[in-house]
Parts: sequence; structure tokens; C-alpha cells
Amino acid sequence: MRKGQAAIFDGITFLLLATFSATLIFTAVGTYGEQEDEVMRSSYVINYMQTVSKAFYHVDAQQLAGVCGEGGDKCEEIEVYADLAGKCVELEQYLPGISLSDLLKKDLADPGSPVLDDSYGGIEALGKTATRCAAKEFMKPFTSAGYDYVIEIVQPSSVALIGDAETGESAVIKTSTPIISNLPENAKENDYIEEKDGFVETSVCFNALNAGEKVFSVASPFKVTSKNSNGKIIENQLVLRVCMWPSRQQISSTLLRS
Amino acid sequence: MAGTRSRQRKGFVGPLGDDFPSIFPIVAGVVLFFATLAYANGVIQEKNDYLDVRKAALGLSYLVTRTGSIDYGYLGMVTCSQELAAYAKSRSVKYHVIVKGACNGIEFSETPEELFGLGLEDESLYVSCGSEEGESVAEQAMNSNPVIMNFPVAVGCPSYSSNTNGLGMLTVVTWR
Repeated sequence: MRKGQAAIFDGITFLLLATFSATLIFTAVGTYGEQEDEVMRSSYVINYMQTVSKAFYHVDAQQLAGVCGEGGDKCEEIEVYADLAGKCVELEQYLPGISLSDLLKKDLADPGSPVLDDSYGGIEALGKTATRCAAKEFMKPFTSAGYDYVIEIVQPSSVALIGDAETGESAVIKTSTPIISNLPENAKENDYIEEKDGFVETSVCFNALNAGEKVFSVASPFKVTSKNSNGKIIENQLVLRVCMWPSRQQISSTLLRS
Repeated sequence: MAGTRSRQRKGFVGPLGDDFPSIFPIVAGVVLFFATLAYANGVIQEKNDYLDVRKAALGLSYLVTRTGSIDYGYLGMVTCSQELAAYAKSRSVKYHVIVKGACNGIEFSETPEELFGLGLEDESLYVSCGSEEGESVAEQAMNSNPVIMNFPVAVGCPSYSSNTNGLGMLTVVTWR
């Protein structure tokens, strides 16, 4: 190789090295901060869900009567909330000062094992309905962004998360359908909601997690005081769990529409 | 002999003439490398600034949502003017906290003016406070790539002075 050719070869090699370095820098810069941003987004979602469960203690049940009413959304036009039309207004009957959490605890204070079914030992206690009405509004920023949510009450003393086959004990408190969620009816096909005789006894959060959803979950203690069959007051240490995940159903239906 | 030497030196245009063409790729390589470094530095700086503002927004929202309900008097007198102001100052950010009662259901603000409550006729369900005052705050915030976070809270319903609490939405706007 002649001297002139060697020199230009060196120059071109240097340029190639510089281009390679520049590419590496561009790649590194492109992904810089992504993980930190992801962590902060998760923190925001979790803080949001914590605030939802905190607000349940402060909102008066009576004040939820306006949800799905005049000035609110037309619930009858929204598939998952259609049954709430004319239902939230029933909360007007409760006295000021009775909070949503009070009503939910009353609903769960059934003699024997707690059931979330809008009744307390046969007497109407619209705890589940009140929570559905509040959750419909409180979760609106996320549901409109394509998230699914579920609020469930869990018995933490249970060993099994989805139910103990031997004892029949279930970790999730038995809830009558519709559950506190924005999951559409067809979610049943995805095995998220396992309905049996009008009740759900398995964790929808756990089912979503098992199905590969990216589930955010927040749990807070929820002590319920009730009387047993002997009239003795017992304290039931339950847990209120709020779960949320980006909906794949929303994404696929959006894609189909576009 | 003379013929051989002239064959060996064929194409030789002197020491400078031979090396001169190689200077172009070398200079191009140096310029490309340093330009990339300068660009990367700018991008990293910008991303760090954004992440800092996001972190500050999260910190402010932790302070203001700690109870799950908003007492309007306490928000203005203590939370905003003391705690939030001190925190925002330490993080070198500006902030605006907006609380909107939504007794019949939550509605989203469609414009910055609506979010910042400008020209609001009924102020019985709206309260805000922040580091900046005046009508230009909405414009100032929106022009500074703000971080906006919404949180559900319990607020006085049907008006903020009511003893009963209903649905409400808290918005924390943070910018630098």
C-alpha cells in the first residue's frame, strides 16, 4: 500500500470509529431516564390508588346520590355501569355523617361469615353500591385512559390467596355480582371473574395477574366489627385491596375500530 | 536505475500532498464525535430537569393527599403557604394546587383557563393556591412544560363550607 493510501485509510477508519461511538451515544441517550420515569409513573398510580382508599373514609354515602343522576354521567349508556342508573340515588336515604367506609363495614358485618352483597344479615346496607358509585367517579381518569380496576375485600388470615380447597375458606370475601369493577361482561371469558351462583369468591386481581396483566395493587387494613351467633362482638381484620392494570381489551377494541 | 526510482515515486505529490486528503475524514470524525457529545449532554440535562420536576410533583402530591380529604381553610393557611411552599422552594419548582368539588360526578377541565378557574362564575366548589399569583399563572404554567397530577379527594359538598363530604378532584400542577 502506498503512503497516501495508508493515510486516507487511517482517516476513514477514524471516521468509522467516530460514527460507531456516536451511534452508541445516541442509543444510550435515547433510553436514558426511561426506567426512572417508569418508576415515577408507577409511584403516581400507586399514590392515586392509595388516595382512593383514603377518600373512602371521608366521603359521605349520602353525597354519592348524585352519581348517575342529573348533572352526572348517563350511566344507562355505559355498559359496565348501566345497572347503577337509579341505584346510586338510593344512597340519599343515609344520614349525613355516615361515610362510605361505615356503610361498607356495615355491609360486611353479617353474622357468621362476611358477604359483600348490599345487605347486613338480611337488612339493606348499600355498602357495595356506594363503593361502586364512588369508584366509578374516582377511577374515571384511569378508566378513560384504558385501565381496568377491581376493588375487593380480602381476609388476610387465609393461607391461600385464591381460596383453600380443603377448608373451603376463601381469601377474598364473597361478593355478589356485579362486583366493584369496570370489567366488561366479556371479561368472564378471560377467567378474571369466576362467577358461581351470582357470587364471586376468587380474587379477580390474582386472576388478572395470572393472565399476565401488569397489575398495580394497594392494600389497606379494613377492620370490621360484627356480632357472632352468640351475640358476642368480634373484630374481623380485613383488607381493602384496590387493583388496576392497563386493559388489553380496550387496546384491542381500539385497534379494531381504527 | 533512474527508471526504477521514477516508478517507485509515481503518484507521490510530496509529504503534504499525500496526507492532505486524510485530514477530511479525521476532521469530520472529530466534529461528529464532539457534536454528538454536546447533543447528548443537552438531552440528558433536559431529561434530568423533567425528572426533577416530576419528582417534585410527586413530593408535593404526597404532602397534599396525605389525609384523603381536603379542608379548604387548612389547605390555604397551612398546607399551601407553609408546607408546600417550603418543599417547592427546596426543589426550585413552582406549583399550583387546585381543588374542585364534583358532587354529581367528576368532570375534566378542557382548557387551562378552566383548570385554573379563570372566569369561573360559581366559586363555591373551587379553591386553589400556589407559588404564583395572578391571572397569568395559567399561561405561565402551560408554557413551561408542566407536570399535572390528578388525585381523588373528599371535599365539602354541596358547597365547600358544608359539613358533609362528597366527591372532588385535586390537581397538582408543577413546573420550573
